[in-house]
This record gives sequence, structure tokens and C-alpha cells, in this order.
Amino acid sequence: MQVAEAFKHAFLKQMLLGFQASVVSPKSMGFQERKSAIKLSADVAMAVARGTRKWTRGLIAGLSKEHQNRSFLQLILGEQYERLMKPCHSSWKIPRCKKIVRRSLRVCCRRKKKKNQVGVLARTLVAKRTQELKILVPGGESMDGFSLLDETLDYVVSLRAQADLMQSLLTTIEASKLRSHSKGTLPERKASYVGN
Amino acid sequence: MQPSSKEMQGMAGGLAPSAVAAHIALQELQNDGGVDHDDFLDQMMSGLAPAWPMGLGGYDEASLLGSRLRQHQAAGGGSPPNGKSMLLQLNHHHYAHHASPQQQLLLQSMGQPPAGGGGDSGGFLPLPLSLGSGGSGHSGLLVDISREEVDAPFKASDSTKAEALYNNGFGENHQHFHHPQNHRGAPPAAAGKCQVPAAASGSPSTGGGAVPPRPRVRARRGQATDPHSIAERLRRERIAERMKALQELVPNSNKTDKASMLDEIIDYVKFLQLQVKVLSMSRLGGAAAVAPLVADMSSKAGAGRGEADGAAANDGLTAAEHQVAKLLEEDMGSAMQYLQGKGLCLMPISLASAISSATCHPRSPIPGGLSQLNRRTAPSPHAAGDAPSSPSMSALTVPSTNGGGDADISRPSRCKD
Repeated sequence: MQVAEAFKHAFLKQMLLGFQASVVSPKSMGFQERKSAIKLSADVAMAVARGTRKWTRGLIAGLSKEHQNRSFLQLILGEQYERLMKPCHSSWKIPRCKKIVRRSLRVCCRRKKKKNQVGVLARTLVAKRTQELKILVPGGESMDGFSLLDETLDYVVSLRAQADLMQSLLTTIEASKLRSHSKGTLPERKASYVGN
Repeated sequence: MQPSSKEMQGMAGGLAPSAVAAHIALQELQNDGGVDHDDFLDQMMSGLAPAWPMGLGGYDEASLLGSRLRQHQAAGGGSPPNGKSMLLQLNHHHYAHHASPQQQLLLQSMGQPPAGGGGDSGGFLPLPLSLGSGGSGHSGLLVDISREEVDAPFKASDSTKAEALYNNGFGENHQHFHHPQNHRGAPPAAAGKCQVPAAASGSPSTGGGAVPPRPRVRARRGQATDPHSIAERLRRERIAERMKALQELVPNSNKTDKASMLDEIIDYVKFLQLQVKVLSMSRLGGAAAVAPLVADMSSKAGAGRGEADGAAANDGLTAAEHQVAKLLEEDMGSAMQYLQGKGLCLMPISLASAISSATCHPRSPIPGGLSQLNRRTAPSPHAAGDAPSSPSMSALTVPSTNGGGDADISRPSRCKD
């Protein structure tokens, strides 16, 4: 996959830093609190590990809209946070490009003189789904069709890696807990192993 | 490095021979020369890479190599004497096509005679010719190659081999030569660049029907030559290429038209987001559990993993050993692939645990209901006939929110392995 080892390392490290920063513990937090804290850490870790992409900026921007997340984000990202919070200038260029594209499309259609009903229907369906995808992918509203697909590709890869890494982290924590459970009986087992 | 290679050999199973061969080959290569390692390997990989019809944006070269070697072995091309000579032969095979001075240098610096690459080519996979313009005159950096090849319309999409790589590459201890950001930076630059030469080369190619200078723009007779339609066509082709790449990512996708592909992509994104949400629900992020892991992370888990393996071996629970060793490296990918292919194996259990922990006290174990869930969902992956480790992993997510009942619930499910 396109996910590099460096991404995995960075993600896990960031996530654990996030856990420490938000002091996640089952004793002090309720269920919802813990869930949102973990999810926040995971999302920030994914964005940081991936680097600078349109969707990472959108993700962090979306996360920072909630007031309670801001202190956490500032803690984790440090000076990067200030840099990321600067408004994205590219969002102004995109509507202009879309107009040009649409105009050229109209010109081409007029030239070909095709009244393609099926085409129009297909285009509407695609447009509707594109709109939905724009909502799903963070920072998607200010992207044109092609970069939206590009960002979606990257985002899906990162999401999948995030889910996998969280899963493996989970199983490792589980395994370590089980080991600590059976630690009491460990000396005897060790002796028997050595004996054999 | 030693424990990691041992584990890799122990666990990678069927992938091991070629993967290990590739790994050993790479290590040998590294040990070989006084050449600067990164540059040498870069050149090596760049020499091998253009011969493959893949987009290399963000790819891991060693995993590519591993997957190619594996396919080569699977195609029955005969087992190479060692990985190194196979690499040499591959390189020479490529050399026969491209005759770049860099590959000559490579062969000379490796200090071995070219082993008759032409004659042996029958034993290889028919490595398709790369884009002719893409191969020659390259510097050793992978970034250049990705810039050249990323927009080729007739090339298989970026993620054509992604699934194969995902399954194979996660099973190997691969080395990384480039940060993925380099590759991500390249395609947008290429996207910006290719408009200009396409517009210029569009009219002569459509006018004369001659071979276009860049294979990206196809010469089509009878099409309008005005720049608008060419730009439109180019844009459509790029969008189609991205759609194909996304289609490869989404598992079990067989739709080809745009609307349904977008539908599947949307569903898949929603599924992944929900999966992350559920995982964050069922996780126990206790500081006590996290602290030893922090130590592991900081030391790159080299020493930590070795110690954990020792402790786990005493336990005799090989599944735990597997999981700990897999933490940073590999193979959650293939297990998750299977789970995602089913789509539902992971979710119901975690959702059930989340619901149970939300409605009941978080600490009270519910062995009866949860173990029933285990037994009910565990046979289904078996029925599909795949990795036996997946039931244990999906079952293990259940006790995560419960304190005491872990040992009881998870052990019977592990015995199934």
C-alpha cells in the first residue's frame, strides 16, 4: 500500500502523545468523553503523520472549530497550529476555474449540438454524489472534481491505515493486559520452560 | 535488525521466501559497497522501477520489489539461486530495454558479470516495456519517475497493485527510501505541467496523425483540435484514472460507471470513518497500559519487541506473541483486509461491546452474551475460508472495555486457532 513505515511510526507516536496530553483514563472520564478524546487524538495523529495535504488542513480546521479541542490542538501541534490556522488562499481560485471549465463545456456542447438527455441525467447523479463526497472528505468543499478525487484517494488510504493501526494498538494493549494478568503465574511457567 | 528478520521469517509464511530473499538481497547490497547506501539503492530501484507499468507515487520500493519477486516465483519462473542474482538479472533485463548509463554503472559497481539477461528473459515475467520516454535520461530519484509516469492514461492505475502490495508489503520488513510526501508533491506538479505540453502537442498530433511526442495525449483523428476540447479530454482522462485508482481501493468493487463507483466510494469512506469511531469507542486508553507502549515507541520497539517476545514465549500463547510483534510492522493489513471484505466481522462485536458498556456499567463483564457473539460470528470467517487469526483478533476487541472477564472470554476463542 502507499502507507509507509514512517507514517505508521509517526501515527502511533502521535497518538500516544495525544493520549498523554488528554490524560485518557477510564477512571476520570465518562464513556463519551473518552471516546471523543481518543477519536480526537487519532484524527490529529493521522493528519500529522500524513503531512500537509488539503484534507489534513481541512481536518484540523474542522477539529479546531470546537472550542474544547483548541487547547489540545495547540498543545499537540505547537507552532504548526498557528501556521495551519492561516486561511487557505487556494480556496478563492477554485470557483474561477470552475467557471472557465463550465463555459468551455457549454461551448463544446453548443458546438456539437447534442441534446443528450441521458448525459444530463448521469451528470446530475454524479454531481449529487460529488456533493456528498465533498461533505465526507474533510476540507472537500473548496476542491474541484479532480483534486477531490485525489484527496479522496489519499484520505481513504490514510483512514484505512488509521483503522488498522488502532486495531493493532488495541490488540497489543489487550495482549499486554493479559500478560500482566498471568504475571502471577509466570515464574512457575518460566521454571517449567527452562526445565524442558 | 536481527530479531525483526527472524520474526519476519517466522511469520510471513508463504510470503517469506521471496520477501526474505528480497530483504536479504537488499541487506547484501547495503553491505556490499562503499557506495552511499541511499543513493545506490535509489538508483537500483529507479533502474528497476520504470520497467514496471505502475504509478510509483508514494510507493515503497522494497515492497514493490517483493511483490514482483513473489509474482515471478508464482509464475513458475524457476527459483533464483539467490535474491541478489535475481535482482541483478532483473536489472539486466531492464538494462537490455533501456541501456541507461546508470544501470551500466550499477552493474559494474555490483562487481558481477551480467548473467546473460537476454537468454534468461524467458524465465522472467514478461516485464512490459515502460513508457519509452519515461525510462531514459532519468536521474536516480523516484520523484522524477513518478512525475513522468503518473499521468499515463493507458498505464494501469496507481493502486492496481495496491491490494497485492497491501497484502504482501505489510508482511515484510521493508525499507523506505523516500518520504511519501515527495510522491504526493509530485503528482500535483505533474497535473499542472501536463496541461501545457498537451495543448502544444495536441494539434500537431491530431493534424498529422503522427506519433505524439508524449504518450499521454492520444492522437485521435476527426476530433476537434481546439484547446478547449483537448483540455476537456485530458481532464476527463485524469478523472477516469483517479476513479479507477479509487475503485481498486474499494474492496469487492465491480461497477464501472461513474455514479455507482462514486456511490461505492462514498459508502466505503463512511464505513472507514465509522470503523475508526467504533475503534475509539472500544479502546481502553488507560495511562497504565499506555506507558510501557510509550517506551516501546521511543525505542522504535526494537528492544521492547524482543523482550515482549521472550515474555510471550513463556506464556505459550503464540497469538499474543504474534500480535505484539505485529504492532509496528505488518500483517494487520491482511487481517483487516479479510475483515473489511466481510464488512461485518469487526463491527458487530465492537458495537455490541460499546452498546453493552454504554448501557451497563463499563466494568461489569458480560461473559455469556459476548461469548455467544464470539461463537456466532467466529464461524463466518471460517466459512469464508480465510485467515484463522481473524476470529481471535475480532474476538479480542470484545473484552477490551471489560475489566475482569478478559481471560475467560478470549482463551476459548484462541483455542480455535
